[in-house]
Amino acid sequence: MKFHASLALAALVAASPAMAGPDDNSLTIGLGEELPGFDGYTSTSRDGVVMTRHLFDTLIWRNPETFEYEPLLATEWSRIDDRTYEFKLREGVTFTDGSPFAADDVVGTLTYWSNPENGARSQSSVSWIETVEAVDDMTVRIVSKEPFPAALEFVAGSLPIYPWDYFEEVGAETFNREPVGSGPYKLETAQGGTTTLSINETYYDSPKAASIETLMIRTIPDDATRIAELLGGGIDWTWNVPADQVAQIDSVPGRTGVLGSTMRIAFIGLDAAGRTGEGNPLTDVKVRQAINHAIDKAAIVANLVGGDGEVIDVPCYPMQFGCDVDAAVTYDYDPEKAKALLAEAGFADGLTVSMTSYRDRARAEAVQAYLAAVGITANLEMLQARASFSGWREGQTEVWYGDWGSFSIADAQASLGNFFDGSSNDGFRDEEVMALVAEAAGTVDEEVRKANYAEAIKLITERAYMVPMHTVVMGYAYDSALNFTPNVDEIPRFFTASW
Amino acid sequence: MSVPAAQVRRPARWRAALTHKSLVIGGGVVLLIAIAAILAPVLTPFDPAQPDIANRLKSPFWMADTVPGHYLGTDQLGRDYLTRLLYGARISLVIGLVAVAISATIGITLGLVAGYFGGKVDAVIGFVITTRLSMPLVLIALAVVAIAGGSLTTVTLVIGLLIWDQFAVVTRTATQQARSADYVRAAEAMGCSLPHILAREILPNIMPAVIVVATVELANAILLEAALSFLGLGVQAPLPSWGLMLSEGKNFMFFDPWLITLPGLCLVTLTMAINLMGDGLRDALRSGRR
Amino acid sequence: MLRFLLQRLIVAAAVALTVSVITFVLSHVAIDPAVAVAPDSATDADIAAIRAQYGFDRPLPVQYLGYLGDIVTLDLGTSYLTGEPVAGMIAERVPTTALLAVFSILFALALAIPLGVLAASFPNTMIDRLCLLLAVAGQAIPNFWAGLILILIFGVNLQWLPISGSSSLAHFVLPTIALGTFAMPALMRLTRAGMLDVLASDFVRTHRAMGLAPAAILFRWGLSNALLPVISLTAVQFGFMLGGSIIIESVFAIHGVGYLAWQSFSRADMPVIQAIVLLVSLAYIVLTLAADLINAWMDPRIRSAA
Repeated sequence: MKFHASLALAALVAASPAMAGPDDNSLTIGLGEELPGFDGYTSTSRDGVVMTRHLFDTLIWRNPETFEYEPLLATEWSRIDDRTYEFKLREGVTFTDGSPFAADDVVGTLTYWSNPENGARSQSSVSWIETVEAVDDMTVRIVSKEPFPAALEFVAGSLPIYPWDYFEEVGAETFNREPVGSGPYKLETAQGGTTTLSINETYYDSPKAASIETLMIRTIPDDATRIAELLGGGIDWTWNVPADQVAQIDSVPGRTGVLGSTMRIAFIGLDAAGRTGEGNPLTDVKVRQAINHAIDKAAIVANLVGGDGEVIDVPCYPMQFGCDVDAAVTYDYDPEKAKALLAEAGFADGLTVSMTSYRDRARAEAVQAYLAAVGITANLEMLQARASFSGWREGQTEVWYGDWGSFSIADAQASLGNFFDGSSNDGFRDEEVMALVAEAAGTVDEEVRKANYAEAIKLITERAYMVPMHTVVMGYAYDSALNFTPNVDEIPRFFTASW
Repeated sequence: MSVPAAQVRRPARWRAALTHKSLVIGGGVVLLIAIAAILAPVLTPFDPAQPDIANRLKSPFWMADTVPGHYLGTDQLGRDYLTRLLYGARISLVIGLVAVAISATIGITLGLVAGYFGGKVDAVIGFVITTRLSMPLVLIALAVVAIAGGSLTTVTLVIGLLIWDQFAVVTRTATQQARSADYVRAAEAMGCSLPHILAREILPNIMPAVIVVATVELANAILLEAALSFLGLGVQAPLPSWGLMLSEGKNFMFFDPWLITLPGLCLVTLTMAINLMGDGLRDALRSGRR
Repeated sequence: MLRFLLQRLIVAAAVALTVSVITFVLSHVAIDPAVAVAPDSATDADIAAIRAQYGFDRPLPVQYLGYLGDIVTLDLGTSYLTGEPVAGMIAERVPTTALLAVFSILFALALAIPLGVLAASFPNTMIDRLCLLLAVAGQAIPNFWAGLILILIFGVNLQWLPISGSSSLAHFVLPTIALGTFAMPALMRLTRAGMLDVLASDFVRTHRAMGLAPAAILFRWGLSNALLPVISLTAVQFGFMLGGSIIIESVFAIHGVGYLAWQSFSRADMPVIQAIVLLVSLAYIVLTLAADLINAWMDPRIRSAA
């Protein structure tokens, strides 16, 4: 017993001021979801994207302040013809394993991942690429299958470049665990729920050059525990903080809480295609319209969203190109009308549906209560984001209160094009809408695209495939001594943060 | 559980029991909570599932920022907290009592059969009990709920089907002892049927021990339900299970701590009262037998 | 002694086999493993192919024997979610959970034995009542609630102790208290009961009559005899700890087996779930077996019954 007592005592002593934060120029970050891996092509969750931005560089990047494309691994680029971009690569860059960066790294990485057999998770990021070729050792050309206006957007955002020799040697699976890149940070260790990144000492003089030396990323799944750690000083930065807490945290001395605007929209997907089973009540348009009438979106936004979150009536982010707000059929909050529609559909005595959600339990329960008020019993399950999204994609969820960040791309293609394309995201499978969206995706004619998206939005809202809910605001909380600015694209950039 | 016949015949034992403080206090508190749970619709005008999101996170009466009528404030959706706590008691008690009824039926049957027949039957049942004991309760409950999906019914069933082991152990031992008792021998000699002997002669005599086990398991069942609901795998929203209320309230505990202290205190009070009652019963029945 | 040992071993092995049947049912019968293994986009034909490839179309008893063979060779399958071998995922996390369980049981014993002895030394006094009340309270406090309150008080308000994770010994203090408190009452009651019995025995009465100091009696004879059953219960409680650690590890974000279990439950990752259920049950079986053997070895009545 004495032995144990001395251990406990030692433990208590060890608890006194831990080395952290400004003292050793490190930043401890608390995330809610387990990091799936470090390969940017297969780990497309938000936290995964954040990681890849720190470990790898892309050829060019979009400066988060000016929104302009700026040089990164490529120093200049030009459009050769409708389908071809040429990039001049930066001289003297090395990967963190010491190998020099050259054209074969770009050709190897992009050729490998644009092959659908290699299983890039987000095929829309790579499927437009036809070939990638080296003009000389420091020049590459990317050729798209068709004229592709969004090419630079993807090159800047979604296509990290890997050291091809190393990748070929270890294979995709090992690379996912033991990545080597040329980004501002390199991976030190990843175990026991903590991932440590240290600054890349050999990084060139880039706008992405970091100030903070060590990033410690901890997975703390429980929101309450994560907020507790921030308040107690165990972590210096976290996000996904519920809106109420943000203002309260901001009132605590030494802590800053900020609500950042995003391009993310929240909506309630309804299983109109009947993927959960034949004869599902949601295949009836009257039931779906009833649900649209049953929910008081304005009250939810005013009380549970916070910040500059606003009600939306369209299945896309209103600022996106082609997201024509006026084209939408809108549904006012009218529980009586909802009940009447349900009665017309033959559900006067009510019905029961399955429902899942993640991000915010209070909002999900509010929706559940609005549905209950018109006689719809929703069996709500709160899950982690990944599990909830998979449930929808696999057609196991009848009512899905989810959200979509459009990869922060300001074009309706990134929202409508991901949910009305017949893919596993598409729980509606409306041939007419699919045709309109597909045509819009395959043309560069802006008028055609606008007209098609407007027509698609009209059909989608008329047939009430989803309940467009609101824009999402992201709650950030961090140590007040930290210089940090949230970005509208929901990608925190710790390489621009400093103490 | 109805009062067993054997005890009604001997009121003196119950009078003696009333001198045990822990029994009186524990039993009194349990009774009070049960009455409050039954009378919940009379005691409060609110619906436990009805949100009022314009009046959310209002404080209880002893703090500032209160709303008249909401004595214990409102939760993150503006639902009256007192109402939810009262209806929560219903859920705890109903799940606890039904689960204990199920487990008592299973456990007592197994125990009676094993204890009465002995030999191979006893060995087999003993083996079943050992197997059940070697599988951790929370883990199995979670595994089953993960497959079957959480709901009031599944949670009750799963708990009921898992916590019968102590009933079986206690009944088995008591039956083994009772079997050699004179009155059982006499009944056997008189040619009474087996069910008759088990039900009329043995059961009443092992009832005291069973009742003590029942109180312990009732407390266990209530805590287990709260744990499952807390993990999000038990009773589902909008039902006001105390465990689920803790889970919903924990994000708000830093600035509105009553959201977790109140349901927690309710859980502690109820289980502690049940345990006290059990302790008192055990002592009372032991001294009564002397 | 040898016969007793053999008999216990056979029972333990039989129980272990039964548990493996139950975990097999969980992972192969209660859900369709082929559907679970298949990627999101799989068609019915793909699933049929997977069924044949993995042998899920064989008769269940044959599949069970294959499963048993895998377990013996420490192949616990692959996680549906991460694609990693389950054995490795668990092995990586066992030390953390074992450490937490050991700390918690030591904490519980450190409270339970002195309190139990104290209560037995002054039976039916205020001290005794107070100890019993502590036991009743300890039993009634749900450990997840205790965890939240500890975090709120010692982590956030006082900032004395780290809140989550397992990177230093200090990180174990709060979860140890939350988990250990729940195991304490049963151990304390047993210590008290054991001490009361021993103190009332003729043996101790004789020594007391011979004029030995009460403290000497208490510690030399009383404790060593009273602790015999406590050892068994400690093993049992240790098994409960592994179950209870699910909740505690998820509250304190400790990346151990319990946290892995909770994650797997919420995503229905059956290979991981069944492996954890199997391993924790096996650990429990081994522990109770060990406790029985220690008891037998220390109890001369069983030892001599060779």
